[in-house]
Amino acid sequence: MTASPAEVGYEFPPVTFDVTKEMIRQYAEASYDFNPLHLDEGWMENAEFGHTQYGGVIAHGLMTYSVVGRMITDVVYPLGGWHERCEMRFTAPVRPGDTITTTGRVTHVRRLGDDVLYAAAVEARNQDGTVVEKGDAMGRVPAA
Amino acid sequence: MPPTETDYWKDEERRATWDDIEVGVSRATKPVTLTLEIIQDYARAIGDLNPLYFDEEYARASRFGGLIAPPTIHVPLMFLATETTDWMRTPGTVNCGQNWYYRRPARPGDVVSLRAQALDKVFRKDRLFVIHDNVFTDAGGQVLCAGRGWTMRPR
Repeated sequence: MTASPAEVGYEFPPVTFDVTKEMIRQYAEASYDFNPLHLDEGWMENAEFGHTQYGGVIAHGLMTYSVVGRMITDVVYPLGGWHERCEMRFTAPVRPGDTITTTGRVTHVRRLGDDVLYAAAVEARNQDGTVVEKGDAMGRVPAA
Repeated sequence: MPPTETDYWKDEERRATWDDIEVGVSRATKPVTLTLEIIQDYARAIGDLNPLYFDEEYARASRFGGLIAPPTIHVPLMFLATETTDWMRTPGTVNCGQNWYYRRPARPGDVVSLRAQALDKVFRKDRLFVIHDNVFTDAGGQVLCAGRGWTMRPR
């Protein structure tokens, strides 16, 4: 396994977390996002979104997106680097009871001054392998 | 936590619908003092106990020179910087995706300002979408981060 995000093929150590209603509530309070989409089970059982019925509360998309950020900063901060950009589409709902795993793999690098900029494909999947979020991240680490 | 309205149904009738949302017009915002409490509550909520957010001695010795906030601190900052009548609070708003560029870390004590607007809006089949963009700056006017979100709107 390649040792640093400065190299194509580097894989960020995955992060796995269990989604519970308590975690969603804690995230709502910490983010000040009290959208009933995430908190009101009774309302969510019947509410329709476009032609989608979620059937129950779902987690904030930015919660999983933030864990992707943590997966990256856990690596790049100790290396003296910086998590510079992250773009993700929220492709499937995340529900209480899900186990989510975030992954990332460097696909391209370029040199910029004293740094190596990396581009990484990033993803979050649930326990069934369904991709719940997908996108790319960009950052930098000092060149060796 | 700072006092904040947790009932998103309150003021719903005063919020702009998709029909009303004006592209290119700034959303009303107010400056936010980013406290250590906000930072650490948020870090804990995403399971991130990085010492740069919690250990003052460690952070002071680091290249950051002091405690910083996680990159995604823009999430609570957006809600704290906007009014209860802001259309991002419409119940049932679904987040379809986000992209954010992180320029500098936010720090405890920063007074953060938000420039925000709807950048675009579109309907596809029966679904209503708004693309909104946000730029956060510190008290010196330096950009902390800038980002864009796609939301599907219930109305």
